[in-house]
Amino acid sequence: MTGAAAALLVGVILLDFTAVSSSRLTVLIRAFAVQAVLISALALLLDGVDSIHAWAVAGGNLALKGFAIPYVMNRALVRTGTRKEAEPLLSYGASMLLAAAAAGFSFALAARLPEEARREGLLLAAAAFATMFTGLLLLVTRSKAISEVVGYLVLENGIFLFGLTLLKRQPLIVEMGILLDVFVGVFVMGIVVYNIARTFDDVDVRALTALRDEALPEEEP
Amino acid sequence: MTLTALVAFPFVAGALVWLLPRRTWRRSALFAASLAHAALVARACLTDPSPEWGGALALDALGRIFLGVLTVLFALSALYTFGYMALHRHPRKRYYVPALLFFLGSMTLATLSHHLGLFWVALEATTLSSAPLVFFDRSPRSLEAAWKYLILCSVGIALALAGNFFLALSTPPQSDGSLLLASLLSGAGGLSAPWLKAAFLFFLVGYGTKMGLAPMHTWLPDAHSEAPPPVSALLSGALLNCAFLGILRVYGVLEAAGLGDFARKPLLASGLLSMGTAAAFLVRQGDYKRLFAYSSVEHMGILAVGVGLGPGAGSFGALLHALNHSLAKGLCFFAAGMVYVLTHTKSVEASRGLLKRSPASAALLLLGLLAIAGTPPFGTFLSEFTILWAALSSGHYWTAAFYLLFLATAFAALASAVFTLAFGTPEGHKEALPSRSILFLALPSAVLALLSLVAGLYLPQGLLALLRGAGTLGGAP
Repeated sequence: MTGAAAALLVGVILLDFTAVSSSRLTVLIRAFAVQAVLISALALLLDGVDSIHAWAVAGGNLALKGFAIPYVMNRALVRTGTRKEAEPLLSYGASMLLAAAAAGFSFALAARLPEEARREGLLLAAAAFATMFTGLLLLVTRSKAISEVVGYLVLENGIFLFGLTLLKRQPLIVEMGILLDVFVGVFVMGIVVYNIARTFDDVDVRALTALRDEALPEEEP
Repeated sequence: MTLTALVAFPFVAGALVWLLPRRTWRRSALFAASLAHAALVARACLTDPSPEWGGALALDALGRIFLGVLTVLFALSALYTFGYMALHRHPRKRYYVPALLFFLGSMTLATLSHHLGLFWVALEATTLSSAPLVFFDRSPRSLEAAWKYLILCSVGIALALAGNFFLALSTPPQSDGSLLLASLLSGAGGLSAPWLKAAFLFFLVGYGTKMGLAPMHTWLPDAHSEAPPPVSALLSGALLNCAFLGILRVYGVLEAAGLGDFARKPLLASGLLSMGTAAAFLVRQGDYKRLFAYSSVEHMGILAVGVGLGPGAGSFGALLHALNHSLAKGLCFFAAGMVYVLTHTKSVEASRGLLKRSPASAALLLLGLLAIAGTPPFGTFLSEFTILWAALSSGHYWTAAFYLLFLATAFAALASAVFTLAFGTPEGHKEALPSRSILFLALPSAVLALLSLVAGLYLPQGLLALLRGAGTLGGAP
């Protein structure tokens, strides 16, 4: 592994911390976008700049996750008038601590992996796991619908990072399919988030509690 | 070209239908497209097409079973849509028919994919094309259901993507690491066991979320009860099968690698847990659509238990049950939709006395109950009994005991709800359904009732051979 790749991976881990510790949703979205840009660069570094396949994956990732998805998300922010994560279920300090613990655990986990997973070095697997944990942490502890979408995206970034070294052995159509699915997914989620904001005057998912089993649902005639 | 055309057709049709200016034209086009899809499926099943795209698309015994169920259920749902949309107040949204066709296309791709990466793409596409359908009523409740469906299933399927990568890692370093099913099965002996096990667990959690296995089932009762009935029928009867297929494909690889034992334990455990959870929530359930939705969780549990009992009788029973469940559950949701257009409520208590108001829908609902609860002579009885027999003959006595307990609880809960619905004195004003729409609603329901009855009495030799071939899993042509 080259020094440049290592620097990029450290950047990915630092962005995980940025994501969990920021209360401003624009910062959260930007952290995800920069992370996606770093991962696109890594795809080129690891697969070699002479492969068309690597350029296609890196280019697709950069265009969709580096630019298109952040654009869709920022538009959703503006249209729903959301600025900040009001009150996360876990304080920012505690989230930061958990993320740091998760990063440490990721290194321990990566060091225990069998040989095959370390084809590209320990750091890549550790960064991938840390990013996956960060995504899950955001999904569980945040209450704004938009933060949950970013949580899903960060989780996906981690998985994609883990798969970088394997992706080149898969048909291009599968990789493009994965990217397209994520993009359309965020697009559909954006529409639903917008409708949640319009219906409930807020994008707090804690407002979504009508569907339960205990009480008989109230129905309009 | 046969298989490529089969996958591409619904997508192309969906894009073209979008251009049609009138709702009635779009719905007619939907029905025409569903018939054309059925014809293409019939042609593919009869001509035995060779694999395409380097083996990524192929039609095997498993694919035939699920594709056949899918196309029949879809055609009936398209017919039902005519009647339902004419009666039910709903927003005028253009995307309904195109989204349904994209949904059909992605499920078709899932049944034909023999590349696990491509299968993943297809299954995620099913979530994305069906979420707008769940949200179709545009009520706060359907919004909530669509949101949970989207985010939980997307996260689940993202974990299955990690499973795909683990599976690729399990291949020997000098191999090409392909996720083609054929090369995984033929090289199963050389796969690294720890990675394969990790991959299976991620697939089970990921696709299990989509299949509605407890404890990842929480989105299912919401999404299946808030979607319009033709969509609920497809979500329960066709989409859950596709997720099940994903687990079966990976399980086949483990079986071929000699790790079947490892895979069967979590399957059995999650199956029984799903059955137990569903039984608990079925009791005193006040909403009849949620009742049928929880019953789907129960039946997915039965499928997992069947496969968890191992290749042979268990898997055979599970596949037969998947078929029977799809037919019966389609009938249940169709009948539930007929009740809803009549009473405008999903409450069991408020819709009571159906026999007096609409004997046809009450009769269909009763048939649906009998079919879904596994009463002889319906097909579900046969398959549930096959699985029970597989459990007893392989010495899984505790499994058999819990299986019977949960089945009995579910039966009692379903029966009490449906008898409340059918009998008693109706509440409020009595309006009857226009007879023209009744035809569109009752005809597809009656077809499904007939099919699930026939499946219990007579299984054609060809179908039996197909089920046996698919029941061996791994290595099936």
